[in-house]
Amino acid sequence: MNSNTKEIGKIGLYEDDSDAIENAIEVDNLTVYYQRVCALSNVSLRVKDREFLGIIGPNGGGKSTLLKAILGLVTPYSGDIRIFGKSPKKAHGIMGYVPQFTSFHRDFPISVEETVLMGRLSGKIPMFHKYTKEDIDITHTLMEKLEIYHLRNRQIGQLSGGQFQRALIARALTTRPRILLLDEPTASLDTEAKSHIYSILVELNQDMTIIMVTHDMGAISTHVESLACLNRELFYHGRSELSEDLINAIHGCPVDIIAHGTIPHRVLREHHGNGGTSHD
Amino acid sequence: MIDTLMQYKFLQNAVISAILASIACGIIGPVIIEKRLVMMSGGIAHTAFGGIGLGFLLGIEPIIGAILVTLGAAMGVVAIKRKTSVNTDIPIGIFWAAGMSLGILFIALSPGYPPDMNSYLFGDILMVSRDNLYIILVLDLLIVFTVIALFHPIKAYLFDEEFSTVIGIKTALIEILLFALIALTVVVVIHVIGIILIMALLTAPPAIARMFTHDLKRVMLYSILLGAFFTLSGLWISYVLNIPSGAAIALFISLVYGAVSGIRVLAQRKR
Repeated sequence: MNSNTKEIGKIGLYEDDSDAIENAIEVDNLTVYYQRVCALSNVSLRVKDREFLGIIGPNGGGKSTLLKAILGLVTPYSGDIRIFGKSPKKAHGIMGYVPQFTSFHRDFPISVEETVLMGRLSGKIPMFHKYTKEDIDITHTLMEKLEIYHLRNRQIGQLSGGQFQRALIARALTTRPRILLLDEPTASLDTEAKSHIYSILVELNQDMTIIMVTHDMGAISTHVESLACLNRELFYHGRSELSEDLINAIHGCPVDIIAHGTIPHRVLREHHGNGGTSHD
Repeated sequence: MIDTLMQYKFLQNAVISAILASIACGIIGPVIIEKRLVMMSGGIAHTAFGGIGLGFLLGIEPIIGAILVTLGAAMGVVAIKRKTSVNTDIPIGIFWAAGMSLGILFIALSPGYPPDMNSYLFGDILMVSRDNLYIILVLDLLIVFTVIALFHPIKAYLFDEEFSTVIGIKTALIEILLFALIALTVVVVIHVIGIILIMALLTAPPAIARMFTHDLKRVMLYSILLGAFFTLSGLWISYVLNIPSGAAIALFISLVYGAVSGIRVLAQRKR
């Protein structure tokens, strides 16, 4: 795998570009501005096919922005993004998106089944669209797999956080994606719901690339295979194991959590006073 | 009232326009409340006054002026919505006032006696002419057809714009279309309830409807029925009490909405 992939600060060096595994995502020198605020500065990273990447970093560090840039929802100021060689706006169907579920208006008049079915909508402006039997079969199978089939007729506001999150994952999966991108999928979930979500993701990771923005360091230590630490710039990208490199790289990327993973054990903590970093 | 209804053309026109207005509002109202566009729609509605003023100034049918200007305003609001990341309320608020002021300016510049603007501001359903009725009918058909044809992508856009974009739906186009429909709805409703009172007919029926169903299609259907009930009852009240129809309808709507909300709060407390 990508044992040597690392990138520190603005230096874009990839030691294993010759690796046999195809890159799912290639981001080169990505810079994104919101009006005059710089959200991402010169970020480059490679995500291998079937990698499980966790994106961490402080609030406002550009985690969601990176996800949205990859999804084609945010137009970069400069830089290049390739999804299996395609530009984000032409990569429909390759990427399944699971937005931050806390951002939804949960009182919207829509049932769980309708929500999941939404992923089967296709076309730019589908006129007189009707879901086919195949659409409905795919939807039902996925709902059964994610244990929300029995809830299909409920309005989405009547689900627990974990159930709603699973509905959103099911919806993303109905598009049959090769890459699944999730924005804080376990925020404000209890431990049991969290581990349920992670077990689903680990299983899905057999067949697809997973990119997950998270604050949950527990997950980083147990489920995630590689890490990207963002604070406007990419401070670290590489294997999520405790190593000299990681500790050095994560300098200036304040992650204020101590994680007790099972194997391997990792400690990520905040460092102060290093003059080498440029963020404030 | 039934006898008089059969007897007088203007009453027939009033009833038909009330029903047409209810259909437009019943379909677009849920769009507005689910997407949190009440303020923006208010802005678009008030620029209709500018359009009516423009109609008088240019000597064309004021409703045609209103169609042109509200469509333009709707596109302006879409632009504001896309360009402003923080607080759209401020530019919309200014837009709102500017639209009204333009109306007043155009009326002042118009030659001859100033027309009576009250019927446009507060509605005068008894003033609906046959020509107006035809325009309203065409706009209504346009709204109904568009929403039926694009129901699934519209629902997807309303529920989750970003996801819809990711799966390839042209959400930007859906948004422009919906804002254009909001503009047309405003025009349909002007005579029935008036520019200033429009928001009551756009928001209250879907707000009540969604208390009873979790299905967007049904929310629209119930909103149409509720809208027809409100406008026709209001019309009857205005006839019996001899008060302006727009105010009668808007007050009746507020009364029912208040009552339903109150009962709902009490019912939930009991549980």
